[in-house]
Amino acid sequence: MNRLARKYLRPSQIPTKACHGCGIGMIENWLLQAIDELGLKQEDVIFGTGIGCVGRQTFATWGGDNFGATHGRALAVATGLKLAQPDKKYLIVVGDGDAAAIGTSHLIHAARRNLGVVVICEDNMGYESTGGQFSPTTPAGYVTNSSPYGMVEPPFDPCDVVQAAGATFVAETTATQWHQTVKIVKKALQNDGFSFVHVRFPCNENFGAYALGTRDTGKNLEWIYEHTQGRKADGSAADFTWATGIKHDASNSRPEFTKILRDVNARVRAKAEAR
Amino acid sequence: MTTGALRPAADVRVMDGNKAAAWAVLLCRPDLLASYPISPQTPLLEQLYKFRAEGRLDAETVEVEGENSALSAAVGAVTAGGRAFTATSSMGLMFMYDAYLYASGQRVPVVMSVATREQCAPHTVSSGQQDIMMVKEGGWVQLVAESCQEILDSILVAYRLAEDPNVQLPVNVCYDGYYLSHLSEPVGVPTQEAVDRFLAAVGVGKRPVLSTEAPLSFGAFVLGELYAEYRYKHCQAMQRALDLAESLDGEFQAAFGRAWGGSIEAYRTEDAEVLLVGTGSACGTLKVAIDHLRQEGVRAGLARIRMFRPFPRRRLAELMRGRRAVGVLDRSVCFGWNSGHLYVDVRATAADLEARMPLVNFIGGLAGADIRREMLEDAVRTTVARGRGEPGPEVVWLGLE
Ligand SMILES: Cc1ncc(C[n+]2csc(CCOP(=O)(O)OP(=O)(O)O)c2C)c(N)n1
Ligand code: SF4
Ligand SMILES: [Mg+2]
Repeated sequence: MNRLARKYLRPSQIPTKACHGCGIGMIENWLLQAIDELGLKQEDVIFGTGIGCVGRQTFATWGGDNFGATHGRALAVATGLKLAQPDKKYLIVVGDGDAAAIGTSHLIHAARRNLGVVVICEDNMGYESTGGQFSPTTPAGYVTNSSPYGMVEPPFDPCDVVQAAGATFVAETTATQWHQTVKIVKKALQNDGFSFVHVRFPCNENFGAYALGTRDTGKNLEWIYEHTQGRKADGSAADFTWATGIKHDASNSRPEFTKILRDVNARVRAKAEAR
Repeated sequence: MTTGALRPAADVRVMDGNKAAAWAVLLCRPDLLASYPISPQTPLLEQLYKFRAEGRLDAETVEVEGENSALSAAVGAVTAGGRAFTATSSMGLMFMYDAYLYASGQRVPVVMSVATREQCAPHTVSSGQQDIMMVKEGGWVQLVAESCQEILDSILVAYRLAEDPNVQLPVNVCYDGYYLSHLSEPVGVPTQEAVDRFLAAVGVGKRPVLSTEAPLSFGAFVLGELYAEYRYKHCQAMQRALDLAESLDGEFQAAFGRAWGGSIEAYRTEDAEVLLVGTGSACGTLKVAIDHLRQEGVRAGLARIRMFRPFPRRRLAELMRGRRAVGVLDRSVCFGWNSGHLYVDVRATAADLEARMPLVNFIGGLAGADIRREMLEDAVRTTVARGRGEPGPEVVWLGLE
């Protein structure tokens, strides 16, 4: 067990139960690194998860307080938690299905309200725990379990959606970008408002097998890397490019949601007392 | 067995319950398949996507962003005059609940299968019947299958019931997650002509739909007496669905060369002193337990509920009449009655009888817990003992006490 895992995680949940070569455990390690570098303790952070590989493989790994919500509802639960315990940091780790399909309305409204939580959307470009169906983030044209002739629907970029909705910190990274991801997560945790970190990672088991024709971890990571560069290993152009990095940083520029509510309450109380 | 002019089952293949459902859907020629994946229903969708990709299923397939949208899309397609199918389980069924009530209240004849699964919380993906019990008063017809063959047959029956102009109600075809959805059995797949013939009585042009020539409104705002009229007519339609289910069997047999069986399967009930009541695949084990105990002279029989909603009250009362005791097997929990859900219905049915008899409820098989034959033999023996006047708790939790 590595130092960070010993410091922050529940020993019974290590090693991760994700498939061999899956990015979920690796990304969690990077989250721990960011938490550690900020000097946060177990009791400072509440860890929430959704349902899916991302949700269930990270559920109850955190040694401090944590919760597992139903599919898509982690942010709805976090809204109540943050109101009750506004001084904690919240790491809400969800899949693309949780965040961008069945739970999109919660995502948009949490961003609009500038709810003070960090959403880590670990995007494996499909519903992988149910066998690899396409999701709203599956690149158009790619073959999945539910799109044998290629995904015919246009995908959307969850970063665009939350930015348009009012998120104060938005960033995109991938499982091939360790240092960048740690830096981004640290910044996200320092925003007293809604932070959204989109991390693409390979699901070798399903997305890799259906869309890329391989379960090889190296090849799957390489495919992701090529799309961060817009260029394949042989120098030819990739079919599309993901622009990674910080996409929008308005950290601490407008009041956090629960603070707004507390301020209103204080004002109402003061008025009532004055009467 | 009557075999009409049509050929009986053309083909017997080995397949699991999800595949059997997919074959039935294929044969019913839906126009729209709307879905969102959830275990243990997902392989059914996979099979339908496969049929679609092979060009066999000529339906629009749309994978939406959550179950509420899946049922809502199906409702839209059916309202416009099409035939639609969707399928779900557990939390997915809960997540479509408002659309579920909309579909029944608006009398939209959509068919949806449910590969039954336990409800969270606590979180689990295992088999159980809690999901279908949570929606049992939602105004849908609910059929519950015992075998993979019955899943296929029930979907054929479901479209026939749903789209009948005198019924016009949504229908659920429920089957136990994993035990049926993922286990393989031989299944007779009927020919397309036989299914077409069976469904010829219903379909496009036989019910009110949205159209520009004769505009209609769905989803009206209604108050007081008119609202009561909606509810009254809905209740009447539920009873007509029950009547049709009982009378359809002749036609089913003529078309496919085998029985579907109507609302209840009576198993070895003729001379039974005690009656067991159950629903779903656990009844298979219960039958084996009954056979086994009969060799020891225990006269037990089983009423297997095939149509759970509307509840076949009259037929069940007939089967209960004169027994020394009745034991009910539930794979779900009714919190408000501190018992299983089926048990509450059986107790209510008992009030239709002149004489009272001891009733006992067995709760087991929650979250995929095994219901072994010996457990059910004990349950039958307990029922017999209650019939002889032995005291004991009204609800027995199998494997817990
Ligand atoms: C209401 C509801 N619908 C469907 C499911 C079944 N389900 C479990 S995980 C999942 C998809 C998960 O996809 P994603 O969030 O991308 O996570 P991944 O498994 O890909 O990590 C689905 C559809 C569910 N649990 N609840
Ligand atoms: S199925 Fe894919 S996403 Fe899920 S644990 Fe395995 S590799 Fe990871
Ligand atoms: Mg995913």
